[in-house]
Amino acid sequence: MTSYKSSLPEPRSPNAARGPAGAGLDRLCCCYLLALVVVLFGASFLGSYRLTPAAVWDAFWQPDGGRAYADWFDLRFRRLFFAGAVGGILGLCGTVFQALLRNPLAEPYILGISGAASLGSMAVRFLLPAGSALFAEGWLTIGPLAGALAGTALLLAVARWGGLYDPPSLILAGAVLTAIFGALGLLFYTLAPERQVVATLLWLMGNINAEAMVGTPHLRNLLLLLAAGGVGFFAFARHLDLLSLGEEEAADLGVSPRALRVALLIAASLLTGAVVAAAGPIGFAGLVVPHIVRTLHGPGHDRLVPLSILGGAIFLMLCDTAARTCFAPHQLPIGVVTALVGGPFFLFLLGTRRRGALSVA
Amino acid sequence: METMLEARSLSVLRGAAETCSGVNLRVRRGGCHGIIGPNGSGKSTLLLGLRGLLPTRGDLAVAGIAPRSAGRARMARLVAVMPQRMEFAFPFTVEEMVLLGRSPHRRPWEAFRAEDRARARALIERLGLAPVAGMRVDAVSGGERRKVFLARALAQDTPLLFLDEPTAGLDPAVQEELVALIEELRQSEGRTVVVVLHDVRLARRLCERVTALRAGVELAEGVPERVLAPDLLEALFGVRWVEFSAAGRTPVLLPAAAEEKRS
Repeated sequence: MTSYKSSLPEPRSPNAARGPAGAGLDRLCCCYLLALVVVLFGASFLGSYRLTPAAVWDAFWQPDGGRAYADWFDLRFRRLFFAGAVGGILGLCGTVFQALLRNPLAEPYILGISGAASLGSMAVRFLLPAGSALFAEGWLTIGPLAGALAGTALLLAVARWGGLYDPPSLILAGAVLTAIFGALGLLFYTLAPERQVVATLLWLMGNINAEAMVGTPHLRNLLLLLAAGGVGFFAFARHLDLLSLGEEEAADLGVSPRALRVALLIAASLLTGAVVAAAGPIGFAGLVVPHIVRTLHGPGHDRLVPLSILGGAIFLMLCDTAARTCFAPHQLPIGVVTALVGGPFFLFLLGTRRRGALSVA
Repeated sequence: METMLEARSLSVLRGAAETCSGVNLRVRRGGCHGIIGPNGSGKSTLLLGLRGLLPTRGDLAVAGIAPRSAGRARMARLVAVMPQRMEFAFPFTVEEMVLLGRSPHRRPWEAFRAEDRARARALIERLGLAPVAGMRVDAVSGGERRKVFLARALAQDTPLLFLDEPTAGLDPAVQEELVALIEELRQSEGRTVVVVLHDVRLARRLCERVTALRAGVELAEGVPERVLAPDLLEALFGVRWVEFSAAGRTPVLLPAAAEEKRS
């Protein structure tokens, strides 16, 4: 077999761009899991009032469980666990959407799915308010899920009608749908009672609320969805890699890009709808986490999928801790914290991409 | 003589419009068929149609199979493509990019095996990419990037190779490397090559037969001596061509303006 020498001088400068060092995936997952456990337990002792590990430990052994233990477990630990599950799903969805749209600036909400889910939630709260004859708590989950599915169906219909399956067109269609759903949401604000408007506005800022949301059914369902989504997307990690190369390249390497994109879009949208149903629309987590993981560990989705789940969990637990402690005893909506972190990060990303483009020119 | 690719009265459709029509070609196993024409003549569109990514009218068979009905997974084990545009949203390393060429040989949930990695590394060595194997694809030179995409296509281990302007933007030394490699792939591995080219000289050197396209229509198909004659090239490109001969050398065709500048 003939070898061909490169026509360029070798070796290359050590300053040339090298891919991220290849630590094994199992080792990386262990590191992230360790960090997650440290954050989970460490942050559970941070809050508006002092709870020490010793006090919680003593209370745990009391016959009735003790107040300290109950406060720690119900108000903090379960809430952080819930935030981690939400963050894991957001990280996973962000990873998938960025591969689908071939754009590292994409996030779960850019296609209008969260806007649709939010609209579904508002429709339920307005049309079937608590206390009405038809109200059932299940509607508060079904509303956002149905909204997310309807938003996905509408997006796919718009894409099919215009032949707009390419990522820039999908993003544009999503932005337009977000605006439309937002306008319809304003309609509810106008017609709904003031009490409902306030509650809805708070929900729209993201809600990791131990008392209202951390019920066993919500957390269990979220964990089941996270497990199913994580296993499913991990199994198709290489297809995500191929899809990120472009439609023709993916097809040349054995993938049906359009069918795959639709299937992944539906799966990721359902996950997004479920997390919006559980915790309201929380922005930027799905943008920041996959981007950081990709920068640290490379773009291969066999790493991105599991590490974005773990990274998303850590990120949102940290944001929830900041929401609970920065202005204690007041608690910020978690969406405010993720926006304050993610917004500048998004601008930074835009700036670095623009500078990169200018330097190439 | 086994026919690997055959098209008769082939038209390629984009939506309802025929962007390429009246194409007839037959490529034997181990052969090399060139597609030549000016910018926008439909060369890349024809390649899309030949591998089933665009709908077609007329008869088309790739290794005896109709591409549109074969399924993408099967086509990816028959035809590998070195694309003209080297686009990627995320910067894989050179080794990762080449390894992705093994994807058609693995189920979606199946990890790459040791033999896949060995094959990728062997191709990286063969194309002189070993010094940059760990580098991001967006950080290597244009010539090296072309080699990366060629290595990825070769990693698919397909009997057919479609090369879309493989030498575009490359310096002469790298062009010669790629041309020599293509010739070796045909002769030692029996691969069948369909190559889109602008360079008349390379077309004459590489190809057994050539299809000339102009404005989406086949102008001529046949051996290079006939299709790449000065009069036909003038009809194809809209400039006059002059044959330049040096003692003991293969004659070279140059656009007349370049020839006048030389003299």
